[in-house]
Amino acid sequence: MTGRRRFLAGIGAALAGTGLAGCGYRPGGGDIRWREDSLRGLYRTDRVAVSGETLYTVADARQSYDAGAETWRHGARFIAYDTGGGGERYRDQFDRSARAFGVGEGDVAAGLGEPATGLNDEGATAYAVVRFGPDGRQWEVTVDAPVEQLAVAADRVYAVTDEGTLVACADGEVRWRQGPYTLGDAGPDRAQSALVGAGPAGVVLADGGEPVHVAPDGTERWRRADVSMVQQALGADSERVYVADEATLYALAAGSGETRWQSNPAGDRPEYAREGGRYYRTDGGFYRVRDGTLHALDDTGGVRWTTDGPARETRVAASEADVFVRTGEGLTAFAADDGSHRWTVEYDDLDAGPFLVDDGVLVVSGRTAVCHVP
Amino acid sequence: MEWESDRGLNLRMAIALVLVAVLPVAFIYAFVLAMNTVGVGLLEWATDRPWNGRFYVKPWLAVGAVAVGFAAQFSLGDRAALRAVDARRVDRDSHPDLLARVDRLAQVASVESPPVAVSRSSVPNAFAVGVRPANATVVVTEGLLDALDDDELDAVLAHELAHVKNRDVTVMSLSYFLPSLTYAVAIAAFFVLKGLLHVVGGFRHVDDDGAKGLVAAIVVITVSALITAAISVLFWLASFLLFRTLAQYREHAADRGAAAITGDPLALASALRTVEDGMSEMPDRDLREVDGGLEALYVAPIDDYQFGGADRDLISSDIFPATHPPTDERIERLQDLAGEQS
Repeated sequence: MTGRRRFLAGIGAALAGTGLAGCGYRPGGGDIRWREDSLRGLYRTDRVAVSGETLYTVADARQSYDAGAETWRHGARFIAYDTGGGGERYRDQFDRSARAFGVGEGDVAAGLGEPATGLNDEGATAYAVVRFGPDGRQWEVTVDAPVEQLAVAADRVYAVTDEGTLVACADGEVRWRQGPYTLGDAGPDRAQSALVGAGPAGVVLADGGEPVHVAPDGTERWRRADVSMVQQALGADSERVYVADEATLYALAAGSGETRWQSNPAGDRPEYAREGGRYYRTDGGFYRVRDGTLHALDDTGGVRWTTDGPARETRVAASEADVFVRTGEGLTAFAADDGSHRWTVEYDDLDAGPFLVDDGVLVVSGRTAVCHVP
Repeated sequence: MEWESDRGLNLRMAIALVLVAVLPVAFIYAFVLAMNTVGVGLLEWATDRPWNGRFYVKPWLAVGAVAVGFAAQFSLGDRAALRAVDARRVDRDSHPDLLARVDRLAQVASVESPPVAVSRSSVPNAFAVGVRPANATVVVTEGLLDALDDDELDAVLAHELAHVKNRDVTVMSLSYFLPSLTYAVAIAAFFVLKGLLHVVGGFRHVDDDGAKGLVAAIVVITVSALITAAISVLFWLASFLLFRTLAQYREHAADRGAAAITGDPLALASALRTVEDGMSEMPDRDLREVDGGLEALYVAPIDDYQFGGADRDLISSDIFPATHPPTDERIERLQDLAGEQS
C-alpha cells in the first residue's frame, strides 16, 4: 500500500470510527422516541395501562360467528407491548369480555366478566381473575361474580365483585374472601378512579365512602367512619395508606388508620367538590388536578407549586424531574421542582396516558402509541 | 547575502494561520446553528413531528475534521498542484542547467536545494509548492524557460526560493483549504437544486399523498440547499479575502528576497515584464490550462480568474484583492531597490 493510499485509508477509518460518534441530533423533550401505528389492530381498545416496561391493552374483539346462536362471539384480547420500542410482546385471547383492569408491581390483572354468547349453555360460571406479567399470562382463578374493581400488589391480586366481596387471589388460588362491602360510584372513569388500592401493608377500599383497611392475611384492621366521602383509594406502602375524596387527600397510618397528614390544596369542601377533583400518586409525589389547575404536593401534603393548564380528563404521570399531563393543546411537560412549562406536543386527541416509562413518556392517540423523550 | 526577516510578513502569516484555523471550525458551527434554527423548524413542518432537540458537533470532532482537512492538504496538496498544471519533476539529465541554477541560488539563500518540476504549459510562469522548505518543489513552465534570459530566469527562481525560505508556501497551502471547501459545498448545493428542478420537471402525475410528500421534500431540499449555499458563499468570501490579501504581501516579500539572493532587482523586474507580456499574448484557453486554482502561487498573476471564468468581471477587484500586486508597482519597487543598492 502506498503512503497516499495508507493516508486515505486512515482518514476513512477515522471518519467511520470516531466521526459519527461526535455529531448528530440530541433529542429534546417532546421528541418522538418511537411510534407504533397499529396499536389497536382492527378492534376498539377499551383500556390501556402501563406497568414496568410493558404497555397492556385490552380490546373487545369479535372472535367468530356462532351459527347456532346466530350471533358473534365476543371476547377480550390482551396485547402487551414493549415500552422500549413499541414491539408486541405477546397477545392473549379470551372468550369472555374484560370488566375490570388493575395495575401494580409490574403486572396487571383483569377481571373477566360476561360470558361470550353461547358459552353458558352448560351452566358454567365464567367469571375469572387473570394476572398478566411482561411475558404472558401468569395465572387465572375463577371467582363467584363479575369483578368490579381490581388492585395488584406483590404476589396478590385483590378483586371486589359486584356483590361487594373482596377476594384475595395469589398463584391461581383464592386465599380469602372478606365483606361484603358497598363500593360507591367511582365516577365516569373507573379505570382512573380506583376504589381499591393495594400495597405491601394490605388493601384499602372505600366501603360506602368510608376507608377500610384489610391486612394481607384478610383481617380487617380499621375503618374510618369520619372520613366518609372517599372516591379514590390511592394504594398503600408499608406504613401508610392513601385515600382521597374529591377535595382532600388523606395519608393514614397503615396499622391504626390515624391521620398522618391531610391536604386540601384548594380549600374545597367535599360536598361542593365532587366534580372533577382527582389526586394522583406518582413516582415523583402526589398531584391534584381540578378545574384546569395542577397542584404539586410534598411528602406531608403541603403545596409545592400550582400551575394552570391540565385538561380535566388528564392523567398525571410524574418522575422526580418532570410532570406530564394532557392539556388542551396536547401533551405538556412541567418541571417537577417549580412547575415551569417545559414543552408541549400538539395532539388533537389523546385517548390514554400519559404513562411514565423507562425512557420516556407514553401516550395513546387513536391507533397510535407514541413514546416521547421526557 | 543580506537576508532581512520580514516582520510584517511574519505577523500577517501568524494572523492568517489563526484565521485559517478558526474559519473552518466556524464554518462547521455555522451549519450547526442553521440546523438548530431554520433546520429543526423545517423538519418539524415536513415530518409533522416535534424536533425539540439540538443538532451538535462536538468540538473535538470539528477540530479533528479540520485537522484532517489540513493534513490532506499537506499530504496531497503539492501533488494535486503539480497535476493541475501538468508538471513533472525533472532530473539533471534532462535539465542540467536549470537544476544547476536552482542549486546555486539555493546555496546563496541558505535553503536546501528543492526538486524542480517543469510544466508543459507554454504560458510563462513559475511557482513553488510544498509544506516545508525541506520538501518544497519549484515549478516552472516550458513557456518560462523559453521566454526568459539567464538573469531573468535566475531572478524568477530566486523569487520562488524566497517563498520557500519565507515559509509562506505553507501558509498559502493552508489558506487555500477553506476556499476550496466552501466552493465545493456551494457547487454541490447548486447541483442539488439543479437536479431537483430536473426531477420535479419529470413528474407528470402524483396523487394527493404523493403530492404532499413531494412538496415537503422539494421545500426541505430547496431551503437546505439555499442555506448551505448562503453559508458557503459567506465563508468563501471571508476566506478568499484573507487568502488574497496575504498573497499580495508575500509577493512583495519574495521580490525583496529574490533581489537579496541575486543582487539584481532589475533582472526580476525585467522577468516580470516579460512574463506579463507573454501572458497577455496567450489565448484564454492556454491561461485556463495553467490556472488550475493556483494563481496565488505564481510569480506573476495570470489573466484569467480561477473562479470567474468568462464571468470574471462579476468579481470586483475592489472587494477581492488580486492575488498579486500590480506588476507595475512591483517593478517600481524593484527599481527603487536597485537604486538603493547602487
